[in-house]
Amino acid sequence: MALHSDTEIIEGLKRGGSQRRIFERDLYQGYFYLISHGIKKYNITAEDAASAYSDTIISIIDQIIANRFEGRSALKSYAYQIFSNKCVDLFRKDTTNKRKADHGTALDSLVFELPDKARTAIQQIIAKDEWRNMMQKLQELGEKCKQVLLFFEDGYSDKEIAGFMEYNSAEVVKTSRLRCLDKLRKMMGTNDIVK
Amino acid sequence: MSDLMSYIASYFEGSLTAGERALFEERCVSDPEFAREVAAYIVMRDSLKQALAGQKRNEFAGLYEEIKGGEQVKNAEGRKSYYLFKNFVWYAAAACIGLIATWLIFFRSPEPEDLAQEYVATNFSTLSTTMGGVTGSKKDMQQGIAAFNEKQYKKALQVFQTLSTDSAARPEAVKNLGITYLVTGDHSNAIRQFDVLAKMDLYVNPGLFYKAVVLMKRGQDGDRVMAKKYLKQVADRDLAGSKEAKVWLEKL
Repeated sequence: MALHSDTEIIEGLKRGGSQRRIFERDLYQGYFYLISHGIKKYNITAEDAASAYSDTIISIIDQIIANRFEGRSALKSYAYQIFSNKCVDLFRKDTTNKRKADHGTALDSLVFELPDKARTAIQQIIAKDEWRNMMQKLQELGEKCKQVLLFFEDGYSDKEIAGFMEYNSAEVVKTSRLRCLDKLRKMMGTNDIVK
Repeated sequence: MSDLMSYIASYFEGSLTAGERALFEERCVSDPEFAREVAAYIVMRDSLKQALAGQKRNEFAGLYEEIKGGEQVKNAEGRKSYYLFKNFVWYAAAACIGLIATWLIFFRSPEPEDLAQEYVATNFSTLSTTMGGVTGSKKDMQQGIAAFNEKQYKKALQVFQTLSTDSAARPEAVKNLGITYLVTGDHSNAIRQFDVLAKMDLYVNPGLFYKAVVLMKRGQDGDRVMAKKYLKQVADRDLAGSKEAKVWLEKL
């Protein structure tokens, strides 16, 4: 059982700040029993079940932070539903030996925020797969740049990041993270900047 | 910082007006160079999201080990209490043995063997087939179950033995192996399998209850006492079989 109620967890995650980690951990511990359930019901390994469970919790956190969790069901049911889907995916991949054969666009990609026509145009460019080794490039970006970008990606506001990383203001954080993105963009190469 | 980066970021951070958004989206279709920069921005943000997920997975992996470690300590403490309890039971049993013997002569209870036999006949005459697809180990499991149901116990034992080494099918294979030994009267092997099953981390685990059933059915010296002890544990911890365990504890 989670130590906090659904409402407390949702509010705690949305409130952000350093307390957010506590609610993330609580959410993770809350439905931990699903791992044993997954192993038994879907005949997957403990490692796979734990991985599916981690991804489930990451997905729920994302939904809550981005205000996409509408609260139509309890967190318990929501977690069960996402976890079951992930286990079924794993089971199918295992039984058909298609594991790691899926190179489609991630469902949570930013590209899905674009309308159809624009999305198609952008997806065609991304599909050319010109920008490889992005994880390596992120490593080379420098710790401070990487950290500010990861905080932002994690849903923290510029004001919160200013507090964590001792920047003077939210505006300075915004300027810094855009500079970091510029730096990363240059590292990706073929930078035909449009004026 | 380039103006272009700031402009693209403004779109995805939701700070453009409706008109500006429409213009941005149109430019993605009509201006290939601009589209390329938008694509690069999305690749960067998606990569960051992926890196963040990796970071969180690592944090959760640490938490997973913490929780599993805690459970193991709890189990070890449980085992410690269990051994203290076990000694206490033996001393108490030794002290009360005369009284129990006298009581048994005058107030005969239902025989544990009869209760166990009835349970086995009702629940283990056939095994239910597993749900889902019929590929790989599942297919083998169904063959083993079919052999059991046709009373071809030797063949069923072979199949379940093989599957008991398969990590995915192991819990069900060990359970079925124990049941097959039980119905064929190989009580020692049945106990061994249910011991293994009881130690597995399962959502529903009937291992301890089945072990008690075997002891009741075997009825050797000390089996009844041990069976009662296991039934009490099953009832107290609300494990699989607790409903029957509570009824039997009143009768035994």
